[in-house]
Amino acid sequence: MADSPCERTLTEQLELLNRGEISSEDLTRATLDRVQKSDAAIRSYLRVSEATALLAAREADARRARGEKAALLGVPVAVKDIFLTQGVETTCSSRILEGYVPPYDAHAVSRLKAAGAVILGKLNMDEFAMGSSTETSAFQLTRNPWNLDYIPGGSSGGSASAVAARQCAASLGTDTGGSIRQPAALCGVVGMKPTYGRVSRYGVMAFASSLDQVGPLTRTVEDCARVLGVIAGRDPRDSTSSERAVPDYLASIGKRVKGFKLGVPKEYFIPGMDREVKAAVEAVVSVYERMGVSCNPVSLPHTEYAVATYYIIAPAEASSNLARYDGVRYGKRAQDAKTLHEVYEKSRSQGFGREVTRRMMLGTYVLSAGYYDAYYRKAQKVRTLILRDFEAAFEKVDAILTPVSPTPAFKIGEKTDDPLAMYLSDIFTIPTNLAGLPGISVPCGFSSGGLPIGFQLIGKAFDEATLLQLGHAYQGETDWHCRAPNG
Amino acid sequence: MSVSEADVKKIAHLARLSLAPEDTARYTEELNRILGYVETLKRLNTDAVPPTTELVEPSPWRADEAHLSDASLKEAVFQAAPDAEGGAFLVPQVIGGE
Repeated sequence: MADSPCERTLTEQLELLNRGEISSEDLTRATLDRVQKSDAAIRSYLRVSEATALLAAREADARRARGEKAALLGVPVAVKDIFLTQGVETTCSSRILEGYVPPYDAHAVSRLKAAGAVILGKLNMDEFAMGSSTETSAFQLTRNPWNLDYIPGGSSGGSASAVAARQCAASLGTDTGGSIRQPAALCGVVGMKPTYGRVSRYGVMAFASSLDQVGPLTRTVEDCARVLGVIAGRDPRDSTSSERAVPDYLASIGKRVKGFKLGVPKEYFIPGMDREVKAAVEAVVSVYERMGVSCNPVSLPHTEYAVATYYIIAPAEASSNLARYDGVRYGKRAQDAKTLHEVYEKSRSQGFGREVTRRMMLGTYVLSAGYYDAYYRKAQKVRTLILRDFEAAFEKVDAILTPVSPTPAFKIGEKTDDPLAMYLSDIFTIPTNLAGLPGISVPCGFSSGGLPIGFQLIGKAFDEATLLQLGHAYQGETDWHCRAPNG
Repeated sequence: MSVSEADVKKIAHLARLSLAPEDTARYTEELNRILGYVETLKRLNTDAVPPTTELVEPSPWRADEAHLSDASLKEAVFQAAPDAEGGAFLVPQVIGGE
């Protein structure tokens, strides 16, 4: 398998294509073949669009033959099933949207297509992105390619497992509380949540609108820079998308990192976190110090309140966003409903799984009359304190270095009966979403059981370039990202 | 603060969800565990702290203009609906009847 072109990184695949050593059609066929052979076990994909992928590949070959240049011309990618794809069923891994075929593409999907990427299919996820293990998908369990008894992380679990298993060169995910970075860490790939407002959410099913952001999952930081450059930028159809110019991320990544200052917050090394994770992240500090990057203690004192804050704000916003799934305009309607009220209640109760139901009830409760001030308003105030922690730290350092997840991947079924334990697995990723800051997860080792471990770099708002530069420099000194799961 | 089974039934109604009787007890217990955990926020005095209402930078303003989509998109929207006819979504009768 080592000589298969899908073993190559996205950047290497582009080089092969540009040198004419392979056609996009052959590369796409090789990747589809890899999916066919490996996905019966891993189950990253909900749907593979073989015919349209091959059409797009031939179109990419024709564009290249005409001398056209585009950032991802002919490279096979895949997207989380939260992104609307014109003419291709999109379910958000929920029964309530079974059979829904969107009439248009999400902004990020149309940017990928315009850049010449070949979209292979739709990737499994937690239902409506609510979960940390991809186990709340209504349709299938996705398994960690490094050990099939373990979860891939979530909610973008299929996006991470597909990249790890070489079933696509890159994927898109979404991150509301860690849903790109945590599965990336648990599957041994790179995942970035850009700054709030950096990538348009148009055509992405909304979960918590003040937290949601779109980002890439890739094998290397360089690949991540390439994909981010394609999807970032102003889109008038998402009013929160920023008008700031998108820098040339590839131009910054080769530069030396000597003299940069990293902050290491003591609040992210908590009692009870996995010993091997702690050791692996501490070893990252040594790698940076050897490159002339200083690592300094910083304090983010309100970190311990982030999960509680998140579990008020996110369900509250979700309960409002998911009110639209009512059996009237899209998806499935309960067949036995006789009144309009029954259409709503029965379609929703039959269509939503337990985790989504629980969060909508929680969100409805915290927003209900008499409780708004005690919960939602209180949480938005604590959010301000969490933001101020980061502002103070960034007066002293260029980026913050932390673990991504307190443990490596856990076993399938291990946390499904304990929602709170599942929520706490996002303790190191949630603060970044609350503050709207960019974060990147980069592989930095393996547990003794052979499961991947990642570290996180958190940056200043709109300073993705520094994170990519630092992440790329780390990958130049290490080879964790070059390892592949068996099979 | 904690919720009773009666509260949970009321919340479910507000969220337009119907719960099986055996699920009500389970959701009550789960919601109370989560609400118990978020109580930790009470330890913080936030009297003088403003709530976060805008992240990173203010959203840019734009003119409130209508953009017409092409007719084929309209067709596709209704095709994706569970029940539609003549450019309208169909639902059971709301007013009148029995």
